[in-house]
Amino acid sequence: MTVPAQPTPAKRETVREDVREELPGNGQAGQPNAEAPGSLRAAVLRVEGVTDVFPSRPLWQRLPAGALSLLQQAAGQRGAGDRSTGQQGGDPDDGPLVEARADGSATDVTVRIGVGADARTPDVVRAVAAAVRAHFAPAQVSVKVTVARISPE
Amino acid sequence: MSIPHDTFECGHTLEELSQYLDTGEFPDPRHLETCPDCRNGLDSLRRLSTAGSELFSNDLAEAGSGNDDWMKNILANLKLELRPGRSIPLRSENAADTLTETEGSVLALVRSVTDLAPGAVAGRVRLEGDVTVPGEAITVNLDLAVAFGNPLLGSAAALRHDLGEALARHTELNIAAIDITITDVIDTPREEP
Amino acid sequence: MRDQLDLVPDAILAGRAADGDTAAFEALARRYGPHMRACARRLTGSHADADDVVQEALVQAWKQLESLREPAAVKGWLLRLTGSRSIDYLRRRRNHTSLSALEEGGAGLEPSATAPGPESSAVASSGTDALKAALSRLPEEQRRCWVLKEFNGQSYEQIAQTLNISPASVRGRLARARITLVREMEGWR
Repeated sequence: MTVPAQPTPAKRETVREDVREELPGNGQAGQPNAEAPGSLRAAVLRVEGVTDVFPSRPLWQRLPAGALSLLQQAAGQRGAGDRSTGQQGGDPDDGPLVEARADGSATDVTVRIGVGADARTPDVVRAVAAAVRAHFAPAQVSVKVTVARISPE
Repeated sequence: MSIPHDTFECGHTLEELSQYLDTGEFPDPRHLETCPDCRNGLDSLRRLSTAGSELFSNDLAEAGSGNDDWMKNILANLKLELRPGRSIPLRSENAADTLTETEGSVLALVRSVTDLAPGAVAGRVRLEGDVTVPGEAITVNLDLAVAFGNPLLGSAAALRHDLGEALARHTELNIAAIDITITDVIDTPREEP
Repeated sequence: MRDQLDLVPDAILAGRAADGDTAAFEALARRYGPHMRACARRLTGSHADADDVVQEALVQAWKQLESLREPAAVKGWLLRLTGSRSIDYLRRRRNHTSLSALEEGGAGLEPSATAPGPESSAVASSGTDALKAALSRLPEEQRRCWVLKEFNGQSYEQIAQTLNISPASVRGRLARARITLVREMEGWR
């Protein structure tokens, strides 16, 4: 994956999950908590009741048929830590699984998750928001969590 | 040759007979019982129709099964957009956060709970009411198919209970009612492994 | 009973698919895919094109399922989509063919389906073989009417819509197709 060379017109920088780079809002270069969002994904997956972390927009809205099941198969076969989307290799639609955007003052973090049917979805979602916040502390973040799937498996 | 010309001596045409076979319409239906030309023409068209059915059966068999690789390939190639539907809000502990679940995920939940009920398969599911506003009264409308011979009365009540529990567990919707309509009966083959 | 989606009536599957259930949609595709494929093969005369047509028809079906008023009628609707996409395919192929024919300075190539193939050169050994051979020699638009009618069971009005002609033209072409086919079939008898 590559990083977009130019900032978007809105002066927002998209931080891809695999780019080991500071979040601009964090301002503490080299600190251990300034981690790649890839490990943010792991932090989200560690929350009890979370079964999946799905690609964030815009891929989500154009997710190919069967991609959800492929994602689940991929997670099952390769372990939940594998962040490969498991399909459409090199597809330009491939987006980051956790999208974090910063504009210098606050950071928006968007996460799309699947929740197991045995869990309590509202509690899981709030726990995910808290985990994301803790992950970026002391930086201030706004967290957007969307449940895209509630599944028995 | 039973059909030397498009128009028979009786004045009727093969086009009229062709339409008669498709629609049952004919200017003078009683004529068909007595006119040898028209009856021969109809016989020929019916033989053609039979041959057409046979050809279709052959072609259908040659097309293979929907479980074969060709269909698996097509299904794998389809880029179907998922339908998230409306965004259903969830309470947040931090004003800066936006927590939601998609309507699509809740519909899928209703389907999966319903499908677990013995002999039942969910059809269309509707959340009536504005699910984007916290606290709004919401009615769930569920179409249901049930297996033939399945006792329905008790299971509908049990299903309503299970659905209410699942929705309370996974949403913060104010569910006012769960309306279940049995729309289809499924003929299941007798226990085939 | 989720594992038994293949036993579930069309209306239920169509309703679920319209709600976004990809498993239900795939069950419908498996159920009617072979019919769609058979129809597309006869219309396009090409196995490879037929599979593209089926795929396009399914993509369109997924997008438009919510607008299907009568979910129980999903089979006929899928077949109509297949017919329309097949005709589109033939039009695109014809444009492409006549263009390349122009470039080569030759006559326009007939679509493969109308070219006399092994089917017509072989001695017709059965009714369906004779019919296949006769079909392959029919004028293109007559054959389209015949296939849409006999394979898909479409009404004159539906065929008219698919082919963008009047129902009266459909009736005429269908009759001419049948007259020709009957003559050739009687030759076989």
